[in-house]
Amino acid sequence: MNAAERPAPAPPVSLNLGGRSIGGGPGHRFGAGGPAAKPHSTRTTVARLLSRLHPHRLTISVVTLFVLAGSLAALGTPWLTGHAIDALRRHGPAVREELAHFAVLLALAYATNFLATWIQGWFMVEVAQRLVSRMRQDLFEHLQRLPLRFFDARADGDILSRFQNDLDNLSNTLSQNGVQLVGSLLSVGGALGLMLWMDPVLSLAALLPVPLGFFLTTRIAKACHRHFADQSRELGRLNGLSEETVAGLDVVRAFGREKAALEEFREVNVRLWAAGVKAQIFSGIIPPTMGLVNNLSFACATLAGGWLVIQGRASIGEITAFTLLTRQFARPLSEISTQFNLIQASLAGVERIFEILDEEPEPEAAGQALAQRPRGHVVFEAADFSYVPGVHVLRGVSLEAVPGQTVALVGPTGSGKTTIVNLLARFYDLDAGAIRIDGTDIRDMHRHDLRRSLGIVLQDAHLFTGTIRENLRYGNPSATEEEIRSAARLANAEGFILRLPDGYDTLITEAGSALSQGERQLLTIARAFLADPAILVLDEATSNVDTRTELHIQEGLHFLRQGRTSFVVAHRLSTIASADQILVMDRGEIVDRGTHDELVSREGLYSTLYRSQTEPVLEA
Amino acid sequence: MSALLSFLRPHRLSVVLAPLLMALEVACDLAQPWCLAHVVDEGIRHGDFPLALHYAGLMLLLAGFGWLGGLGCTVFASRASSGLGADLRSELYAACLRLSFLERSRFPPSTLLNRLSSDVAQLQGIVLILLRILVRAPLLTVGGIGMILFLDPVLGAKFLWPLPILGVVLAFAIAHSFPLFARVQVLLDGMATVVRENLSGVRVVKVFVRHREEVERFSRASGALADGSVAAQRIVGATLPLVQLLLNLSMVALVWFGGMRELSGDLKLGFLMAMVNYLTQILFSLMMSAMMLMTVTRGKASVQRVREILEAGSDDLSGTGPEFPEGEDPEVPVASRGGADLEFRGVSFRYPGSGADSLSGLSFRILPGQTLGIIGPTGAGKSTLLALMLRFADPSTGSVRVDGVDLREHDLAAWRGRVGWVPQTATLFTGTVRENIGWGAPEADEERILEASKLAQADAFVQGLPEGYGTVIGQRGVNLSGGQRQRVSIARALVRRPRILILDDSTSALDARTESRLRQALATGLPGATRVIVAQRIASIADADAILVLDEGRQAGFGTHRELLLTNPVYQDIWRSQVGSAEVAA
Repeated sequence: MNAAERPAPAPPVSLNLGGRSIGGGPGHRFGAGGPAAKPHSTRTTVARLLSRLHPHRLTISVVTLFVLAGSLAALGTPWLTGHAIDALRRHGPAVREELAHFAVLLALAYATNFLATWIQGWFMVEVAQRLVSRMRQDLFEHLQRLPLRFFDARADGDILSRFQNDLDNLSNTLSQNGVQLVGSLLSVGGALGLMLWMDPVLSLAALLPVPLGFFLTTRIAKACHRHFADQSRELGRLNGLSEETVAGLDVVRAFGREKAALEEFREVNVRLWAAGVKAQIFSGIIPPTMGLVNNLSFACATLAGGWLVIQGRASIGEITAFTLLTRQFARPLSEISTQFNLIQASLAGVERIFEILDEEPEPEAAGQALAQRPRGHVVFEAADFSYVPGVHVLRGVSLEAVPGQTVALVGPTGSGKTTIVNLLARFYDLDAGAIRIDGTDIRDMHRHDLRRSLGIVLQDAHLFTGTIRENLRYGNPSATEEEIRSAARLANAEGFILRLPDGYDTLITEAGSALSQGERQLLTIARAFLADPAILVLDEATSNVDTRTELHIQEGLHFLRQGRTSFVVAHRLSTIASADQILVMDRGEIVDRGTHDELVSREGLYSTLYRSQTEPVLEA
Repeated sequence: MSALLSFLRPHRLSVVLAPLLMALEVACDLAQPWCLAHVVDEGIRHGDFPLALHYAGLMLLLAGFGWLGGLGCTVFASRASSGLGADLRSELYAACLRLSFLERSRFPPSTLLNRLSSDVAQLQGIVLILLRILVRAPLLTVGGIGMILFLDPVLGAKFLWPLPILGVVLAFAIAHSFPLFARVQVLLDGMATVVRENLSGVRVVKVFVRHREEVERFSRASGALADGSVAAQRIVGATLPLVQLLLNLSMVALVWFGGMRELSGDLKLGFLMAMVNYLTQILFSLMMSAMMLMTVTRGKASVQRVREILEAGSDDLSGTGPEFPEGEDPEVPVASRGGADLEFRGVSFRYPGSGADSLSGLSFRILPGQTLGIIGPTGAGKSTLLALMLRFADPSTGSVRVDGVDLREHDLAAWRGRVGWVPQTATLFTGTVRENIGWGAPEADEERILEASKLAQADAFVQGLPEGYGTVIGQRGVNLSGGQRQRVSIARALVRRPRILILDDSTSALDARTESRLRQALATGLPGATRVIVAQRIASIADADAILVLDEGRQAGFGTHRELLLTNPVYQDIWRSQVGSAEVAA
């Protein structure tokens, strides 16, 4: 199954619009509200996230000062406006001057607020992006240190989506909402404080609808959450379905299963639609509802204030100031509440990232470094291994390869040949027994030195985005041009490379390009040559290459094997017949060993295998 | 964009209602400040509390209607956009299934999947936004300006000065942010590529100890992404404060001009508050329109990508012409139905855009029940040949004939129903072993599945799995070895009781013993069926009735193993490379 990475759903297009009018009319938010997954432990996650802001503390401190200044200025404007209005009522001759006075002060206050908000945005965007970038880096670096076991147990798409979806969401949310969060909170707090100080009774009237708002929002959010979870689930199912079908289109069509596939898709699609509509509606209800609550709040404040004015207990200016303060309290509050879903989803994503960061890495620094190039004496001592506890893949395997020997591993599929390769490279550790190179247990060796002394060519020809030259140099960055060409020649790759328009500078990508499977394999073989390892391992390396080409490679390999221990896992007779030692494996044990001639005459498993490969040719 | 419109047609009721209800909401929004003005100027100022209450009540009533309008708009807009999303996804998926063989190379699976999910989601979001703001923003803007001028033309006109300024600023922001956001998308892709390669190539990275270089490579990509995002976000982030500043400065102007007015007349405070209200609504509507424009333009790329798939060349699934003489019944044993008579007559094939023929001058024929072996070096055209047999593509010249009739005149679905194809890579699907094998023939019962499985040499290992035939295999299930997957894939083809069995190098992962057992089983268990076997090893096809030797797309030889060994240099070469210098016991 081609494990195409799970495609990343588009991050919600979150447009941060402060579209609230003064005390009336709902503003409209267009956060499409992604799947509102809930973080498991909000407090810890937030705390960890905040601790990552540490390197930016200087910037944050300075910005906070600006924010404070801006908020204070903003909070001062209702007061100024109120006084200006009251001044007007006095109808004195100096009014014009006073008015000018207030106008200038107001303008200054607003200008300060603008500058502060703009500067805050300017710097905080940078802080947010650096934070996300740092997390991305840490995640990637950490992944490099995790054992193979981690990757084998997970779908690639799942890990990739943490980079694409989760971090992207965080980036958007922080840059747009996070930046203004502090200012909003200050505004809400400050306004509330001032309101209560100015007139507690009036404040009460104005704040009356607020609990209603909270209540409504939380209830709606709960329903929202449920429907988004449904949507998420159906989307996951749909994606899984599409992935498999699209990757195996040839098979689907050859078997005439298009109609069935389409029906299956449509079934899930309908369920997705149903969940999606509900989720969308519920999340879309929040803004107008908050607007309604705002209006209620405003109306209450106006009426209560009006009553006070009529009673002569307050001036119009004071009431105006108050209602303006109400706006400064209500608007950021409803903004925060409508963004709540998005913030929650982002936090859930952050948790998934921390999950990986908390995974135990492979201990790296342990072990002694190799003093010099190993001679390549490999010994397996009664090795026992199982991928899944209880299911033995290797049982008491013992083998010895002296330096320069070519050892072939043959046997039916599933007999444990590839596992030996995995263990030699210490991708996994033995359950019992030991593996030694030049007498040293590989567990006592520095892992990287161990791996550098191995050259492995796998069945899947894996290359990286880059030029052919860069790919060949992968294991040996300091290789000279001459060395590169020589390796390519030995692997019989030079022929087709030179036939390409850009030759060694041809750009190739991981997902396939103008090169066939066989050609890619030749490149990986050349890459292994160039790395000049002490121990060479070929795991079904030529299974995708035709026998004629393989013959050419064998000739090159013959030179390369001088002074190098080689392990060859293969099916083909021609590959293994010339090996110094052939190990016959069956069900995790070595059942026979010897040279080709010895084994053939022994009438065991090997001779059976051998005969079945050549007999039909002889009989014809 | 017009392509989208056709998808909206089935939802036209919602498409019409949503804006209408939004209009209702807008009307209520516009009426409220007017009420407010009355509350303050006529009620409070004159000490007439009941009147103030009256107008406040009206305000609340309007707020209620506005809420209903907003709610209704959301409901219908959601229905329309979600409906569009679902329809689009469905159509796109059908288009993917129909994609012709040739188009497939243009659109690898990863891009198809991205378009199915990401682009469709993008478009769905855009339609939602459009339906909600399309009516709201212009109406509010125009309505707001109208109300201001209506209430006080002279003073009002003085308040509209921020509008042209804002217009210029927004146009500037849009023009500059668009390319920046496009660049961010590209940078995102670049970063994703590094991650993907490190995930699928994790063994290679570890063995070559390249983690440090990969980390560096990633940090470059990530840093570039951060830089790009910062630039883009900064522009967007500057617009809101600017709008607020303009609004606030208008308030200052209001205090001034209002004050001047007051000195010469009546201070209509409520009126002033209403003015400010309208101004706020106008400015924010303008900003919303700008955001909408930015989002919609970003959607253009998605529309393009979706259209490409919908309009891509598809396979012609129709086909007139004679049905197969034996009729439809798959229960009739193959022996009596007979294998297919397959012939290639002067066939050449060239991929579009390629400079050379992939296949040229192929002419051969095999009779029903015979076995055809195909051998040749890597890249000789073997898989292309099979593609023509399966009619994934039609030959450029010449014809492929089955039972004497050109394949193009056969019913395609019927032909494919009679072919058992085992591809080179065993593509299985998430599900139980039973489901995977049964996938080849939905009408097959347990007995038939077991029969096919035994034939394919799969039964032995399946019995050894934790839950036998009920074991789930796939991404989240048990991982089978290469050879095991191949055998399941073979069983899947066999369960169809095909008239022609095509094995594309399907035994590469099997050891020689299993392979020879399979060959024997096929010989006895599938009598009468024609067999086409592509192989790397001559041993696999040496006993075929005829062997086709392909070399660089040309028919380098056609005959029995013995004939070819005696007369064909290419074949001799291959044989020599396989048997090699190993001594062969007599």
